[in-house]
Amino acid sequence: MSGRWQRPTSVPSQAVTYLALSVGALLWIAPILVMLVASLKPDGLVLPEAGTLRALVPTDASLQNYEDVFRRVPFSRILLNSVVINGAIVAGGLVVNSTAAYALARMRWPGRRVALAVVLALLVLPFEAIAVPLFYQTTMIGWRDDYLVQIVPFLASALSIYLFYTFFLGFPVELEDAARMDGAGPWRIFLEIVVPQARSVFATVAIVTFLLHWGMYLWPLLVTNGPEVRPLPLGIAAFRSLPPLQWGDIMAFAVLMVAPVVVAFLALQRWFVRGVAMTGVRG
Amino acid sequence: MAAIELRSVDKVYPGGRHAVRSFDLTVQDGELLVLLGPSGCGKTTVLRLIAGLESLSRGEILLGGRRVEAEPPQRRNVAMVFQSYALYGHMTVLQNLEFPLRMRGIAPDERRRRALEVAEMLEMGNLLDARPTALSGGQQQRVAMGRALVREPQAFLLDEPLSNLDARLRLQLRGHIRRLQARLGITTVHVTHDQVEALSLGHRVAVLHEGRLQQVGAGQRLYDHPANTFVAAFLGQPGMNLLEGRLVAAASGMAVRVGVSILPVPPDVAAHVRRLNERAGEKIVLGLRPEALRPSPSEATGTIAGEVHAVESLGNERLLYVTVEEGATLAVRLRPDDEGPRPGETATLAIEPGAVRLFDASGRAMDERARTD
Repeated sequence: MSGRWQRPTSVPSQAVTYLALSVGALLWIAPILVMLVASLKPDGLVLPEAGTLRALVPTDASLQNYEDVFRRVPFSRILLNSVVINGAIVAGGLVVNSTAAYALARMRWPGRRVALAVVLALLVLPFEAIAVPLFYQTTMIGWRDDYLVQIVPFLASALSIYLFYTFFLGFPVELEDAARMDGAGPWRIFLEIVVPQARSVFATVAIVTFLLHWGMYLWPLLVTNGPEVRPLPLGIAAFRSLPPLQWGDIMAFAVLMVAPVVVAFLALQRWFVRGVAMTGVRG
Repeated sequence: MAAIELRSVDKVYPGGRHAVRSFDLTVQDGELLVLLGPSGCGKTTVLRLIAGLESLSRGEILLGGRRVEAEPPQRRNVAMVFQSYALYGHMTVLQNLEFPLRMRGIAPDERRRRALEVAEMLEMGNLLDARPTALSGGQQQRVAMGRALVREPQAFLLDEPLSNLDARLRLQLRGHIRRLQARLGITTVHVTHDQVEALSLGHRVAVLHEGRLQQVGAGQRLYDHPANTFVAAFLGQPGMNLLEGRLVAAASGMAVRVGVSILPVPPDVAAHVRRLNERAGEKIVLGLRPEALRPSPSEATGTIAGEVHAVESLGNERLLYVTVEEGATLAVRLRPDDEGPRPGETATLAIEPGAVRLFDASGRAMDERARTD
């Protein structure tokens, strides 16, 4: 690795590198910045200034648009829906997928290889491919227009199982052997030895799951009717078509929708870097 | 405390690898036995079988006279120290020490008392609040020992506990293990591939090779009277020199012909080989320890000659490597101040009487002294 990616030594080539990186960073951050700035502007200024550099300047900044969002739609309710649904998917998913992955990685049972193959196969299957059969099934059960139908189908996740599985495969067996000798059973080993040292992978799976589902649109659209249980992506779609069309309000809504994602990411990101160093195993 | 007994134990892994074969071994109550062998010889598997971390394919394991092969590890009441120490990285030293007691449902006060007692014994009272990752290798090793000792097991299993440490620390902790074992009188099986560790530590040493027990006995006995050519070549640094030859009758008794050299079988060896005189013509392997050879000024009978191809000065000794006829290389141990021949020169080597060992063509010792334990 280090051999191929040597630091450029000459000043011009360094300048080119930094320039390219700056342009890249600007491209990434500009839409978010525009959104944030527009959410603070009077509605009348958002569109006229959108194509100019003034889109990045918060002229006449106020929180009026945010007030409007809360006044025009039951935003708190929609946010609560999203938090409940995503919270349940993340929390439940961590339990279901970590235990499933542990069983796949560490226990020997008939059908294990087949189960593993199924998990790997499901990794490449897009949700859209199963949306219709899933809709059919939930309709047969009579699940409509509630939280459960938006949560349960997403608890078990091939991607999460796979992430946990690869971590558990690399987890030192000796630690589990030691715990067995110390008198711990399988559950205690899992809960007291493995999980506390797997915080980084739990955090990773939590973030990935959260990001995947926070913006989910198709499924809630299929299985919900009213605003009582609908999450934010449907909320913003409905808000956009709610006259009068006010771009400042829409931007404020968008900021409010993105904020929890940023918070969740910042809260968990420090666990990403904590890895094998935690395990206390040498050699 | 309890004796450990393995009877006709076999371990075949699901893939078909036969890790342990017809293994019989008794570790006496209070004994420190060292399992010694090259890597992959099955010594760790034997340890894991005793611990209950592996199930055996055939045979019996007894702990204190009780059959345990069907019992899970936690019921066998043996403790193990792993090569990697396997400390729980998310717990403090004190929590690590208390863990086995907590799993056994021992009350918090009692737990704390026993953990502190062990910490005191292993001189790590000042480390109790530290995380294992903050400790040095030697300290981690002591915590691992402490965690194994804290629940007062019937037997103590050590899987290469010193292999991750530097030489100086290894020496220091070797003494520590020896004193601790002597003081507690706990039956201990210590696995290592380091023969110095094995010979210095073990009351008895059991040598393994390819899943089979080769020989068990006091270290010195194994060194002096190896049961076969594997043990002969494995023990010693360098190991015993082995030369293929043929038994011949000579004027003064039996002798071994190696190439053009005729080496007489010393009387003390001849006395311990049954019907030696009737075995003239038989192909055998002659074993000579490096310290049993020395350069000789004359080419008298009973010497063997070859070209010196390397000399190693190791401080306290010099090793001479002499290539004799038929390509075999003999290691010769000299005192550091012995001048000896130089590389490229021809060396004539005389053999110390009493240091000759004979093995039959299959590699088994012919000397009866190597048979008894």
